[in-house]
Amino acid sequence: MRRLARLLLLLYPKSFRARFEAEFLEAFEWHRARVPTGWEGRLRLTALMLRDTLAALPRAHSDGPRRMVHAARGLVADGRHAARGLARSPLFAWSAVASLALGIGANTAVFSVANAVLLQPLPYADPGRLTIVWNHFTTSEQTRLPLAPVEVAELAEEPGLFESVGGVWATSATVTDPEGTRIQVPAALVTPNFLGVLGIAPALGRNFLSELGNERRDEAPQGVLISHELWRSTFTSDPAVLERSLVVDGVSMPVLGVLPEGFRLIFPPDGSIPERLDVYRSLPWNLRDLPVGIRYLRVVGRLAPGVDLREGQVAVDAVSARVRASYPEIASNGDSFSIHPLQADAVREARPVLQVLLAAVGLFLLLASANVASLALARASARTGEMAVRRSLGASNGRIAGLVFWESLLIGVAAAVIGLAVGSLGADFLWSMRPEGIARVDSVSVDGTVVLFTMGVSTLAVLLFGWAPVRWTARSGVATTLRSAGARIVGARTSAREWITVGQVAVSLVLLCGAGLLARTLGELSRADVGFAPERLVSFKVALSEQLFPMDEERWRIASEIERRVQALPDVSATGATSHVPFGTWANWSGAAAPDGTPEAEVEAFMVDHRSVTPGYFGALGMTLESGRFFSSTDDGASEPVVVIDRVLADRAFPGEDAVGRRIHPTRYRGGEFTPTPATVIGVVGSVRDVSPSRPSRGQVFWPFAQSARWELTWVVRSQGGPGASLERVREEIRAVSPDLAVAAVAPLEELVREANAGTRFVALLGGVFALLALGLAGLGLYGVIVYSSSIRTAEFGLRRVVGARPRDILSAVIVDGLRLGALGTIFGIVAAMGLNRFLGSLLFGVSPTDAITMLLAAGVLLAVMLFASLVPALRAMRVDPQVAMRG
Amino acid sequence: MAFSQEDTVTTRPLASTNFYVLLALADRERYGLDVAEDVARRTNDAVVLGPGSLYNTIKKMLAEGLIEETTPKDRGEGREHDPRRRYYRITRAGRAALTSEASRLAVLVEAARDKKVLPAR
Repeated sequence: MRRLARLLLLLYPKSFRARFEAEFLEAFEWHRARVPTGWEGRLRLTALMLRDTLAALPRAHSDGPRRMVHAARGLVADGRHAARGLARSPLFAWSAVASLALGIGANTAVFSVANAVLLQPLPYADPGRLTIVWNHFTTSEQTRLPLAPVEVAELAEEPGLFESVGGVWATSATVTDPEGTRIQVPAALVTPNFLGVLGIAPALGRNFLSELGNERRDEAPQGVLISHELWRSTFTSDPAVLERSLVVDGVSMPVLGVLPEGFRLIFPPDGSIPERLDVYRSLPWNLRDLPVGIRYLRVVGRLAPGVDLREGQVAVDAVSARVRASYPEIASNGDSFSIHPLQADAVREARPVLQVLLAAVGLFLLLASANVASLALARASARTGEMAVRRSLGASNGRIAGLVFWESLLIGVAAAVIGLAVGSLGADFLWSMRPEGIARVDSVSVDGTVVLFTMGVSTLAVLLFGWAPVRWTARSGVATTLRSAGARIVGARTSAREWITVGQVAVSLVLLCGAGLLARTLGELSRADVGFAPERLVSFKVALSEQLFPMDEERWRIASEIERRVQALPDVSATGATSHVPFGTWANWSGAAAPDGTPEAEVEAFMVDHRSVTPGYFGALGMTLESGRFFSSTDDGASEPVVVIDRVLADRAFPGEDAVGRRIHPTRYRGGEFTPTPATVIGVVGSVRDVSPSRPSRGQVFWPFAQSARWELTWVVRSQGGPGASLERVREEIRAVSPDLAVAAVAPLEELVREANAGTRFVALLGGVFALLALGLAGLGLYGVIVYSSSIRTAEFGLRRVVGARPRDILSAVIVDGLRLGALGTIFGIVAAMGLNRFLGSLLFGVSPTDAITMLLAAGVLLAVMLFASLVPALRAMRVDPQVAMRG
Repeated sequence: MAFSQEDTVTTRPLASTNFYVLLALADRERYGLDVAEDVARRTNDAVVLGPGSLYNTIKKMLAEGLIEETTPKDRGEGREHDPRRRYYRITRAGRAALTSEASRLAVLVEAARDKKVLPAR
């Protein structure tokens, strides 16, 4: 209880405590003796003390306001004085403001991106309850797979889990605009309720009707929803669009609605769902009518009110157990669901990138603050005399510290304002070079949160660089300062600046190492063998829609006709087509391809990517044949099923043996259905990386297009004159084959490969920029320190010269001084880099986070800059005339 | 018309805590806690000054010159004093304020009797 009295006592003014503390406590004891012992007494005593404090405090502090007014007047005067002081040293003021504004601006820019991507809620109704459900094949350890329609139906029926749950699959469609031009657009196949799950209502018209599990078992609603963009381009924003139809894949479909402007699907990049889909078609109402074993739906569920993720996971576990028990088609894969917040999952790949960038700009700000602190210290030492005079005239320590802090505050405010401007420009810059893979980066803007962040960062910066000069000024006593001629106390102060410089060198080394590692990663990625030769290759899509060309033979005839005609063009050296081009965006086609005689339970160990290719494809892409042969025109629909497999699958299915001539059981697409079909391996090709240069193939099986005619084809054309040289001729040839065909998504393959590295390039470039700026700041910092210390030692140098030192000795003395700091900083920096670069982990490829070469290189660059920074003042010191120096 | 100094003092009522403290010090000098004890005793524990109120009041009254701290020299021989404590006594201004407040209260009490709020003496 006595502690309570002591605590309450702290609330009283100092003067009161000084005089009455003992008596106050004695009176408290008297009160304590008057109440009964036990908790009731304690309670009464506590109440009495609190009431007493409340009553007494206002009167105890009644002279407070007057003092505050007085203090405020002092503050304003100090502020004005500080502003005048800064105006008298514009060089100091501007260099401090500039380096700080750069640091604050960089933080603001990166934060505004992080804010938009990581922190802003998704633009859907009540986005906190939106989740994404992934499938996990427990038998083959494959994760993040789509779900089968029947699984979505089961999820929807689980009581108390989702308020609503729907799925989407991205594909493409050929639409015909009113002028009769065919264009290929990204399209979606969705469960009827999908947009409702997101809480999206069309801007015009209506959503698809019905819900999952509706008892009506009719066909899918035959109508389409279209994007605002398509409405504008194809229907010229016709408000009567709802009475019109859109020809989709040759079939005229009524337009049911137009989606809101700017509506985007925000999915993780590996979900293969583009942000903008132009045409939405609906799956049938009853998902149980659809094939059970094909999984293609990316599933979004809105959790029922009050259900949290943990409960959600328990519930989806129950559903997946039920699904495994009731559907033998699914049991062998061991489907198991996992549930994640949609937002967190969508930005899951961007998160580490942004975190690394935030850390880098954070370090950069630290460095900029250190620079300003160093400058401010130098300034404080130059003003030692002024402060001593103030002190002897009666200024208190607090008042003097306040004066110095005012300068820091003014610099900080100016830097914050400029930094915010720099930051919003920087955010635009980041936006302009954003990598494709970062979801939601469209919405970057400098909003209230960003401004708040900038203010916070600036305050931090002011505290960081402001405390050093304040503390130093407050510490140096009157007597010492007035007595000293200046030179003798330099030691202490220089050492504070020296330590700051050491810190700067260390921080810039960390940044340099990080940037170096990322640069080497980029190099490794661009050198990485992707398994084919992307140079001079152009790719484009041609959809052979099922509506237009329902027969497999028809699609095959068209594909071989195109191949023949394009191959005949004079500039074209090779061409071919595939259902899935490497580094393309088309949703993957995967399934099991086990060798003959594999037990049912082990089939899933042979999950591989399936592709369907024309005979010219392997040659056109530049893939290597390791044994057997490529496809030929005789591998057609009438002959025995044959496949080519890649090295990864060959090694897995037939370790140590020749795969050619053996039989495996892949999935084939034929007659509109996917069916497991045994096939003979006729060739083995080198593996191709087709997601990222850093991600090895997980095994591939290739069907001849003649035996498995998928409806979407991506052509690759290798031309003598570089990618796209004969594109117009190619288009003409394709139109000549059929006027219904549309060419879309034209891209040089090299660009597709490069785009896969865009995220890394983005971080590496920014990291490099920050590292260079950091290097510059550290160099300036060291330069300042050396200039200062050698100017202090001018007399010493003069004396040395007089007693016989050569100019060279002076030169090396100064340089050694600088390098000593540089070396110390480098050592600290390497230690820090070893610890911190681990966090780059997921962004690196082909280089270890503690790569010695990178570290040595970074240290070398740093020391060279340090050498240069101390060389200039050293040369000046060397040229000092001994006589002048001694006299000075 | 001008008020005399006396008038202005009498027209301003004394804060009740001040009145209690002055009353406690009216007969002899006391230390802080002694004041609180005296007040509690005289009011049958209806008024119990908490430590904050007590010493804050003392501090203000010292500043206003209503009471003063005594030095050992001031204190008469033979009286018992604890050397660790600080003793206060009422000043002339304090006594004037006390008197005027007491008379003001007496007038009020008289009025209460007239209106039969209190039994007549």
